[in-house]
Amino acid sequence: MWRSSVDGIELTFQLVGINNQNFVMADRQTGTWWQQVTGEAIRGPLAGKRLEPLPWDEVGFAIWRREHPRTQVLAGDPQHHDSYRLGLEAGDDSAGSRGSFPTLGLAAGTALPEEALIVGVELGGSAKAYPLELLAEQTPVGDTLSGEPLLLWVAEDGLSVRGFSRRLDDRVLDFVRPADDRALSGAEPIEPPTTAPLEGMPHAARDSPEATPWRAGGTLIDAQTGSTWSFSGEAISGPLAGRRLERLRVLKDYWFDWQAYNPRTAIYSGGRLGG
Amino acid sequence: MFHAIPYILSLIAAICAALPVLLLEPSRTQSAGEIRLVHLLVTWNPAITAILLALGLVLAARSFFRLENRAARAALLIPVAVLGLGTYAARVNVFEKMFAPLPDPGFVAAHQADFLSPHDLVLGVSLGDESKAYPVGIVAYHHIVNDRLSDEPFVVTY
Repeated sequence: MWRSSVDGIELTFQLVGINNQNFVMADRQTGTWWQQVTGEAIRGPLAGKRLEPLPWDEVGFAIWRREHPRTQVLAGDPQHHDSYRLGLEAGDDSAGSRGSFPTLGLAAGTALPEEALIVGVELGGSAKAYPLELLAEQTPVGDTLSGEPLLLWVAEDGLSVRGFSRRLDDRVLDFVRPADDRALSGAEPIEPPTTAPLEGMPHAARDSPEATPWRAGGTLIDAQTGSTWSFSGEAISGPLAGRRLERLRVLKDYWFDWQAYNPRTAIYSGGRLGG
Repeated sequence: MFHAIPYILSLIAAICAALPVLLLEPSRTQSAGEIRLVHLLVTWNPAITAILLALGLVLAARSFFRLENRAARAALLIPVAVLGLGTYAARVNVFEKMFAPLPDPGFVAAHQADFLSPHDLVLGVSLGDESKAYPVGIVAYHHIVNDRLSDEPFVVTY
């Protein structure tokens, strides 16, 4: 997601091609070509410029809606609704982002498959890829990149991934899952949308409310103070209540794509692959 | 030899129009030189093909009146047709045809978003005190959505 003003010109983009397996967009105002994954102008009058990233979140709708009750939601074009992959149930494979993580069976010494989903972090000139399968299994994952202590957290829904700095004032926090996740997630499920859908838009496949609760993302506890933290990065109880962790930008991506644009990336091995 | 010129022009037009599509083939890696060439062609192709078409039409007309042979006259339709197609192709963005753009994105309130389940991933963005969610299942199809929030322009890509 990119801000589309460059040097005071407001640009609008269209797809124009593929470069190194990542799409290229052209702006209608200057005809410059931009690489989607890096936001860099690769040819044309604005070549060399970079689009400014707009912080965004890739999370399950339940979590987004709970955190932003007044959010607007893109409904798309009813003409194309047959082509959209919507109304997924837990475990579905959605377009490009899986509802559940594929089991890769990562073993010592084997390379990551091209199509493996990773969570990429870029910090202080270093890049590191965290295989989603490992993150989901080990969440919360505490690590250090370019000297910055970071936390990668896969929410209760098994879909949503966020990154935070573990540094708070002069302290570095370590996070653990609470002994009883359910008791501490602290939020009753909210009601699913009930209003009739737009004309032409299909209803989502509905599980029972118990099976697909509109829950928050779960909680973590920090080992240093015992405070409880919500998935939005805010301490909701304990000595640090009200404090916020700094969000770090993470990108869910395919390994081949991440590797192409971060050739010197490290790979998180979760203590299993050695290195 | 004179009569061959429309054929040569049509060949040039065909190459100019086809090269960008061939070079940007998704499953291969493009070099910086290739990207440079494709960008040049895409930028200038509309003008190049229009000039080739105009030249080709004039020369094909001249050949038509000078040639005696009926078959050779009829065959002039081939370069003219290729030139016409090339001129048209240079004005069409193949990728926009392959991936439908979403020029007028429509939004609903969260409680109306009945087409989503709790497990649908969304790309969420907040600016000022406004928030928007872009379901991955929708943006993965359109790839690009030009939009604004709190009067800030931005582009959603997937």
